[in-house]
Amino acid sequence: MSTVSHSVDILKIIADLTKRKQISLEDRLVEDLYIDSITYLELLSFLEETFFFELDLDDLEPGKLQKVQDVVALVEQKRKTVSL
Amino acid sequence: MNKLDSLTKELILKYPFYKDYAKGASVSFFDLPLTDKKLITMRRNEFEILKGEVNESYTSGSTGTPFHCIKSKEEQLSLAFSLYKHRRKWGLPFKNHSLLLSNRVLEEEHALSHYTKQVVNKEPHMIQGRASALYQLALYIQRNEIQLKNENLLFIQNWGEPLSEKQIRVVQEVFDVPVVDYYGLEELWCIAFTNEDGDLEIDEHVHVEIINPETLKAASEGEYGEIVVTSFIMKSIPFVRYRTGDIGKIEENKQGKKILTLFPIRHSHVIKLKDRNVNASIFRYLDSFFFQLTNQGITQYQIVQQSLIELCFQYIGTVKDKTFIEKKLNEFVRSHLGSEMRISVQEVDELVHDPISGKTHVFIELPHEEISV
Repeated sequence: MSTVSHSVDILKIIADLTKRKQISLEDRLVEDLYIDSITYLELLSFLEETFFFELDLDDLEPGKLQKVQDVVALVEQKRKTVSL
Repeated sequence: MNKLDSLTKELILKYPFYKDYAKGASVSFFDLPLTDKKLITMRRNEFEILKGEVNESYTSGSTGTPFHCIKSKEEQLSLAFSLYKHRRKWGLPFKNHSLLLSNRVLEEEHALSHYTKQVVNKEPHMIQGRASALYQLALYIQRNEIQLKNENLLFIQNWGEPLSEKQIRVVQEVFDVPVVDYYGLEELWCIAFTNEDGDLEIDEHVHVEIINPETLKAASEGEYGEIVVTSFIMKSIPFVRYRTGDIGKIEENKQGKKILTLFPIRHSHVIKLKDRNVNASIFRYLDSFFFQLTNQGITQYQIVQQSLIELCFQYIGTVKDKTFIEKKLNEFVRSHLGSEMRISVQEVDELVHDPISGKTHVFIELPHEEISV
């Protein structure tokens, strides 16, 4: 799966979770999309199950994922680790 | 470097309590001392590392030793994520609805009726609560022959109390979904969660050992002993080789997973009133108050039911104002039990131990032969 299609899928996942029609890579998860802690857990779990990787404890620090593009970067990084 | 070695290194570098264990040669995880609530409370400043805002809570656990718990946002998130993933294995969908049962006087009709309506009208995917509350709700539904048509419901989850075979059977019969168990501590949340085979599988974010509580040496595999837990998540206060006071054994299943079996408990402790029984877990609402008493000098306590109308708060340590404790307990009993009881407060040298587990329970119930006014 390419980086471009990852971005598209992640945007779709976050849009669905936050019930929004449009999401951009620059959107901030908390300030712009109002993602609360429960939705954050759902997002992380959905990413693991959709892209077949496991998150480490370090990945779970709330400040680590500020914007949608951070989520895309995390998925890319994890996918690379899985494919090695 | 494995997780335990990595944790050991971090502890020695960061925590004053563990710095003393830095020797010239490398230190093994099993060289580190056992810890418990009393030790951590006494030397709190050597264990605590605060970074930013923390969430506070209190527990006396099941041994009447009050403890102040703290968790950073990061720790809460990691602990919650771990629990969430266990529930996902039981089919919990995204955007789910769960029902949490209170452990207030659930024997009362209006409370049982309220929760039954919630189950019927809100159609939760999961119902969670203490074993006694789940059991009371199931009996109420059964007794009133209420038809549950909740197609969303996937499982029932117990927490905070031991779950008996009878309770599992009744709850499963009424709700027609699996009953899953969750064993943990307020200090560090999940230690083990029921897996698809119905066994309590140890969570990947903890390391569990079993020790002989008298010799403090490791028990053999499959031998019962005291459960000692190490959390890989908790860093605000590290819980490393932390004695739980609970009895269990560990065995490996065919898939190489560690399975925890808790020592069978005959029954939960109940407060016997003239017209009904109330589960003693209701005293958890006073955890914060009991912790405040440690500032006065109480190190451990126990509530003993002496008759249908008498409760005695027994403690080890010192207290300036016994009437303050009597007043608080009186108010609590009136509001939470809907009953009047005579409350006494007594300093003792030793508390009552369970004859089988050796544990000091928070509540000692009335023996059957002594039910009298």
